[in-house]
Amino acid sequence: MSGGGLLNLGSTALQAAYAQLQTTGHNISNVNTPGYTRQTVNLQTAGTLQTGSGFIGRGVAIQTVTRSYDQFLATQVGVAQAGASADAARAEQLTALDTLLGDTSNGLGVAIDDFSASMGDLVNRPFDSNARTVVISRANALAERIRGVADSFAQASQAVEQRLQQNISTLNDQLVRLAGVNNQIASLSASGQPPNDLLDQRDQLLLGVNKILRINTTTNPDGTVNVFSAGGQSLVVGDSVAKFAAQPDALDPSKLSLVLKTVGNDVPVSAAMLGGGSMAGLLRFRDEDLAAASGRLGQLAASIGTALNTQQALGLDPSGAAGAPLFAFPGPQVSAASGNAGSAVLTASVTQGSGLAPSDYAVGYDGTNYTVTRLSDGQQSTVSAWPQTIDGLRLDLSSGMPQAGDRFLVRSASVVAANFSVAMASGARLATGLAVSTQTGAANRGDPAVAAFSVDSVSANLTQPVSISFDGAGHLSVSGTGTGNPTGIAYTPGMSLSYNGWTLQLKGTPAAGDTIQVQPNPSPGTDNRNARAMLALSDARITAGQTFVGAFADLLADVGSRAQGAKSSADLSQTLLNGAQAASSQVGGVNLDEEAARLLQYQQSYQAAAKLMTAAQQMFDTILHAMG
Amino acid sequence: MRVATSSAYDTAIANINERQSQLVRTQQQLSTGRKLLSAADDPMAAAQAERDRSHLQRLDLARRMNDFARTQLGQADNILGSVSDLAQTIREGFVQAGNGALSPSDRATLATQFQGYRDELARLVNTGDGSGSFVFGGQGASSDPFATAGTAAYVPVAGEQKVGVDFEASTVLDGRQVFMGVASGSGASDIFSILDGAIATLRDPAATQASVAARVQSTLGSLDSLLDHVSQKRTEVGEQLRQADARASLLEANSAETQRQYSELMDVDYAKVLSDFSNSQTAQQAAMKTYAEISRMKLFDYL
Repeated sequence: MSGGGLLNLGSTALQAAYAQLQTTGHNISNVNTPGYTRQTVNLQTAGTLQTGSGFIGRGVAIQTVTRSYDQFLATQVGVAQAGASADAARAEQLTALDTLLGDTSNGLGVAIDDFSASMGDLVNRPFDSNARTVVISRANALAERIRGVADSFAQASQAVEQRLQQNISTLNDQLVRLAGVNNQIASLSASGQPPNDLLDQRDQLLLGVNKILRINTTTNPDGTVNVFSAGGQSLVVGDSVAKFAAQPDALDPSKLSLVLKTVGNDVPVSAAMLGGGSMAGLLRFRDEDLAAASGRLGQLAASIGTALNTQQALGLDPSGAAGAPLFAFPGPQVSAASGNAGSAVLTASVTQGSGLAPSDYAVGYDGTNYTVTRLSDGQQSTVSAWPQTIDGLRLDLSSGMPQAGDRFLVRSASVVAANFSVAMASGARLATGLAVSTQTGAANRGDPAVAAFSVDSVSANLTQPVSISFDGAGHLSVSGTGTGNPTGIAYTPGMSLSYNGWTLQLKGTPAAGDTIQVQPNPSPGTDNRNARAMLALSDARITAGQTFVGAFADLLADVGSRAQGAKSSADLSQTLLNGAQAASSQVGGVNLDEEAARLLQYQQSYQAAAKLMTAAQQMFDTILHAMG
Repeated sequence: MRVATSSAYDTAIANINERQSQLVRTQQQLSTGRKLLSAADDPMAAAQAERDRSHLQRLDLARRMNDFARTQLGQADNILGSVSDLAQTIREGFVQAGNGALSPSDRATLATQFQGYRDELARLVNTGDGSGSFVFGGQGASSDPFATAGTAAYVPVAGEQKVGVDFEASTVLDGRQVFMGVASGSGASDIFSILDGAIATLRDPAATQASVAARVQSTLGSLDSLLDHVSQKRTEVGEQLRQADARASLLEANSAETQRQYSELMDVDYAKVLSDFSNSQTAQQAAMKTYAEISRMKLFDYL
């Protein structure tokens, strides 16, 4: 029997209760600390004393302080966070782009229609110089609007790259700090007790990294973790920390791409290797969504420019000169990737009469064959001999030879819009008339007539006089240079004849000896037929099967549905993240009411323990007094 | 089941924010009057709305062309009317000339009269249309379509200049069809040469009564032919005018219908959105009130 033993017992109880009170206080203080996991004191009995009359307990001992941490749930949060960050980053950029295009009252569609309206006035009065001036001015407004939209796309791309740089800088910083915390944890764990607050800190850092790219971790026996990217690269292993950087892409130096700087070389990091996180979302936006919108814009601009320029060339301006191009825009540009070992030079040009696909292309050489990849959808074709025409682009090896691994970038749709401009300074050069006119014979007794007439190509014999004669008995003959002078052609009203680059549709009932003449146009400045043809281009479905405005409406719908899809993905992944976080905080989060209850509980334990010590003290005093 | 204090607050705040953004969005719709704030709200509707907007502009373009054609055709009709009146007057003059014997002074008087009519006709056929072109300018003329001194010639390419999107209407008429190729005793010719011939005969002191009578007869025939051509042309012009008028009504109706479709896609249905706004407000208030209530309940208050 020893009062000291009881005193000791009391003191262990007091210490235990005090530790619990402290831990509860720590929990309460950190209720709002992000990443804090609630801590609990693990108690166990302090052993027993074996006596003849039984085992006497020796009180309580503090085993350790642990945090209520569930590794599985925490990993789930990391995965959900990577997904949510990627979706949110993409949705934010797409929403901004969609808002930008959304004000259609001042949009590209209006500019196209305004240009058509001015062309309509020119059809009414082809000789009117004011009408011509308005056409040029509306053409300039259209070109400016096209450039404006292209400029917005370029700015969106730059915004993405700025964010990428920021993300990389934050990421590199966090990786370094992770390595630091790892070391601290390793040295503290050597003591045998878990360094809970450092562990929380490290988990927060890991979550922060997951916001930028998705990671996997493995835990080592010494308590440190190794961090790997979703693509398998080591990011933090012991003291070695990877460093990310963004540098001009080898194939397309106008864009930044990610590299992982390791000893010796730079490993390129593709969006797929990121697996998630805001960088993946940003890259997906830039390389898929923005590229698609930019491709459609380029396709539309090229379609407008080519159609108008081609029609101009088929007509004459008032001075009698063939129509000069109305719009100017760059053709396809080929560049070799930096790091190409060979000397090959590729060229690209657009084949006459075909539309541009809404895409750029990459050409690669593997030592035997060339592979042409359409960047918008990844469609590949193999080429073994040059020249080749793909999607209306004529590609050719103009000089030199490549080596295996060489790559080339063909910028087709993406360069058109940013440099789209009006090539014509004065409306006097608008080719409103055609080079040839048709006229029925003055002495005709029947009523043969021209239902429709068009110039389809500028052939050498276009302005050669041609005469069509009817025999009144259902036949006609044609005479004139370039026609071959056929006779006895069966005549049916509505039939068409094509010679020398023009097409003429006949109607009416001819009498014997009636004629129709095709001759050079003496007054192209008062002729409106080519202006009518230019106006008709606005209704022609020549841009991927759509009219000009239809193609613009499709661009709006494409960006809109991408933005809509991205928003719902972001909402969904945010909901998943919320769920994962709720599950995790269910286990590790601090509930103030619970802590309040525990506070009461541990206070009572403390008071009881103090009472025990007082009792032990009194017993000792009693013994002392008893001894006198 | 445990609920961490901070996550309980976080959820409540997230709900309040969600309701807040819903309210802001509804308020934006109300103040702009637009249902679709951007294409992301309804991509298909946004694309259709853009097509509708374009269609409205195109209908407007068609209307302008059609109105221009109506003006030109109306003017042409007026001129043809004047030509017809003048030709009738000339005809009556020749009928008079064919009645009985004419003294040399009568013939001289008539010749002067007919010369006056001939000059007036020469002016009429070269009438400008007020916009820089000519009523009878064929497929396009930048100066007088008829050269009327001596033997007349029609300068422009014969035919008609047309305008239209989806339709065709003439804005410049074929002068050759009306004034050239007029029937005369010596095959087809132009009305001016015919009149000149008649005037010359009347002025010729050596012309016999018989030759004058013959000339008058043949000229009457030519004038009938001219009146025939003019009447034919007026019928054609009248038909085109009728079609243009009908087209104007159709374009009007199409415009109204397209505008209605466009409004349906773009414009806010105030009744619905105001009711949505009111619901959102109520939900927001409920969220905020319950937040206030729950945050008041703390165990610490009771200790």
